[in-house]
Amino acid sequence: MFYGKRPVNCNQLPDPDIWVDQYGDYLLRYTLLRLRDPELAKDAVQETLLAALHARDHFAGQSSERTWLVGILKHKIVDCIRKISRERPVEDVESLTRPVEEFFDETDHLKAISTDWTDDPGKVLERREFLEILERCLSKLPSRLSTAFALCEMDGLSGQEICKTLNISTTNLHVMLYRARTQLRHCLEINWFGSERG
Amino acid sequence: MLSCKEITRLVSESLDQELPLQQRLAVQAHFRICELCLRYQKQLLFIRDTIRRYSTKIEEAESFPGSLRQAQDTASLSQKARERIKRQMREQTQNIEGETDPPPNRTQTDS
Repeated sequence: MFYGKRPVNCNQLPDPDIWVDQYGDYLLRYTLLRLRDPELAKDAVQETLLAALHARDHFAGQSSERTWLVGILKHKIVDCIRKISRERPVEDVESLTRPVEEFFDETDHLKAISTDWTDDPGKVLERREFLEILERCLSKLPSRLSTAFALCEMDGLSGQEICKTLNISTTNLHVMLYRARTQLRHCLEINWFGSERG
Repeated sequence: MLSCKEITRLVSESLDQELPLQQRLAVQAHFRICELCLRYQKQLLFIRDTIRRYSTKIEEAESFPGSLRQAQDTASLSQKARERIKRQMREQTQNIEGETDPPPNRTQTDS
């Protein structure tokens, strides 16, 4: 099992009630970035805490409690995504976002809504206004695109793993990532780079 | 000649897997005559870099950065949800350990 192999001989085992109060919101928000349905997200958090409770003897303190819980959560999230992707497969990838056509003119050239992004990614994340805009732009992505994007860009899953989890072909995945990126790019352009700057 | 639409698709794809040589050359050739597509690539790379750092930031931070303001209601566990989870956890504890005694009373402050 991946929870940790050495049983712990501790006077003090972690307190489950405290887990809920201390980590509940964090785990929920972590999940929402990958799984946008709030009910499913709550279920994933609940299952994580229950599974962690079951396995708490194996928490050997080699990482922080929260890191350990997140490790379990990641698997629960993937399980959940797999399940809904099987139950409700993506029928038509093209219908998942508004058409990318709006970003292109009649000759299929990129419309010139595009400034030169010169911000330093490290520095710009220190700014709360940027974080809010980034999160808002992410939340505007249709949920399946958001999931594909998050699994790819945040969790670094391979294309193969993502396809297997989402029950889609490689071609579909590329289309989904393309749309997610294009939409995000546009959102950041309009709300940050094209407006705040200059 | 490939259009910007086709090129931007290839640019996105190149972030995830290496393009075949012919497509790579086509993209490079297009960049020479199209500032916007070159910029598009730079912007996608910026997004990738930023999202990765954002992800790391979340994992290292005390609490969630940013505000998720839009989803404020759904972004926290309601008191009801917390109580339900705690209840489930207590039941499971009792099942695991075969305890029949109720858990000790705790004074709970409202959060």
